[in-house]
Amino acid sequence: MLKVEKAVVAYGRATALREVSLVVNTGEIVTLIGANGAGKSTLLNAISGVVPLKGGDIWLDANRLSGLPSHRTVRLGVGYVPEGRQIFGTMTVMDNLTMGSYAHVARNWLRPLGYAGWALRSDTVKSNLEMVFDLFPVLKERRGQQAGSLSGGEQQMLAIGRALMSSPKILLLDEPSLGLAPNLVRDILRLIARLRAEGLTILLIEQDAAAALKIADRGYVMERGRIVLEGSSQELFRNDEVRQAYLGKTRA
Amino acid sequence: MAGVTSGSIYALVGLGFTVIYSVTGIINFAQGEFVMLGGMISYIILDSTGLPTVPALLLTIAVVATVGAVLYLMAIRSARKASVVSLIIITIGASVFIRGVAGEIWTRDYVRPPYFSGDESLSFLGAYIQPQALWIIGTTVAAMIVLQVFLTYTVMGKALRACAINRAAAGLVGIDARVMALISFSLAAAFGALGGVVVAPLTTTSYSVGVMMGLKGFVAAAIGGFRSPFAAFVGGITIGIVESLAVAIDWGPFSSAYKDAIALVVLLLILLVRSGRLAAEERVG
Repeated sequence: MLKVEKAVVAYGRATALREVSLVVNTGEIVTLIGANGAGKSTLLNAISGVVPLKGGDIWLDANRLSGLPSHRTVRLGVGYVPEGRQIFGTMTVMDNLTMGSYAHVARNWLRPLGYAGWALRSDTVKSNLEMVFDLFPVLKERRGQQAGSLSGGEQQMLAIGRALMSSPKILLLDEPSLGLAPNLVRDILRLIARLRAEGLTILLIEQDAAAALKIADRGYVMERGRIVLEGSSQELFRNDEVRQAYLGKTRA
Repeated sequence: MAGVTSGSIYALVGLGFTVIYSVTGIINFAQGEFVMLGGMISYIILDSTGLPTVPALLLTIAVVATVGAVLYLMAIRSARKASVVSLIIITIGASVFIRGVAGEIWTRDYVRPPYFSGDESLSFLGAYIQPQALWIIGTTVAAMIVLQVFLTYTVMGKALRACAINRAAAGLVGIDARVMALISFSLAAAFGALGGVVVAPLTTTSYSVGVMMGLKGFVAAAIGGFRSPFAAFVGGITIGIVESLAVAIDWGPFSSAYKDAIALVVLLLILLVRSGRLAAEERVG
């Protein structure tokens, strides 16, 4: 269970998060809804340790995440797919996935010095790789290709696949469908539902709030660095303010 | 041939610049001092302990790699909130410090460690060549290959590259950028020391050779755009050959007296062409 308690984040004098509290129960899909600049991405950045907290606390199960940099939170089970994918463009698909398992490999400090192929033979890493190739057969086909030469959708799959290589307990997804064709957006959302079915916990930011609420169990609405509303997906769907502000003219 | 020999050393120094720059965004102006330390420490170990050549040289490289690590931990890491420009200035200070200490505790004379395998010239295609020159070229090529294999095939090497490509994303997969920076400083120091160790028997060495070595290695790396070790290698060989051509022509502005100025001219040209691009790529350390 991910628990954020009164998290405060400030960039210089500008406060981006004002005492945000939320809970993501194990096995849930929770979505964050809000306009650009509402603090959704900042919240994910704070959870993964990319930006430091000014106040408050963040816990994942029994581990305290607040105060840890991102390379430490990965080891505790936070898998983060940031906006813009951030894959290693001039490395191959396989190398990107290998880097995804770095948190596992580096548990033993001598292992990174070995041949990368050996690292992939360890049980955990091997089964993660099989799972990623099973979810995204196209990555298996293109494993020797430069990641930067993949299409936008394939790069998104690679970014998610790379995060899965670290065996995360919770996956933080920031606009995974940004810039993708509508049919790919559906594929990605279907995939997120499938990941949950396999036991992952997911915290999702998605521009298309209606689509996100369809696969999510619960949602939080953010405005100017605060959480202003929370509820089950059905409740938020039915809420008039939410429908007007974020769901456009979509049918209930 | 003389050009390729001195170019090899510039290439080794340039490799160091490239490794540190690509991983951390810092241009380490103490890089030349690693070459000086390599030459001086190998001389001292060989002169005073009677260790056989190979262990003495390996020990030298290990010592200098440690100096590189200490430089990072004490000067760079402790100033973690400083901008890249301040960190670069810190490396200039560190180079002055290392040179000063070396000049105080060791002799200020030029010294020459023994050749690796005698000083009898070999005849090669009608030209005579010092065996040490072959050692220099062979060592540089071998070091290049080892580095390339390390960066291409090991998890650690891939992690260093990942850090160079996108430091934030490297953090997200669990790579500690500070550990990678530490490794890059040690690697760069080791490569610089290797250069110093192999070149000192041929050219002699002193506490002050680091300045010129650092400068030429910087030019080698700059020709390669600080991008890849191979580019630095090509850059180093280029500088070496251009220099030796100037010495061979030995006329007017191409007089051998201006040999060292050539690298500076090349540097000026590169800075004119590239300064905009480098500034645009400036990254945070």
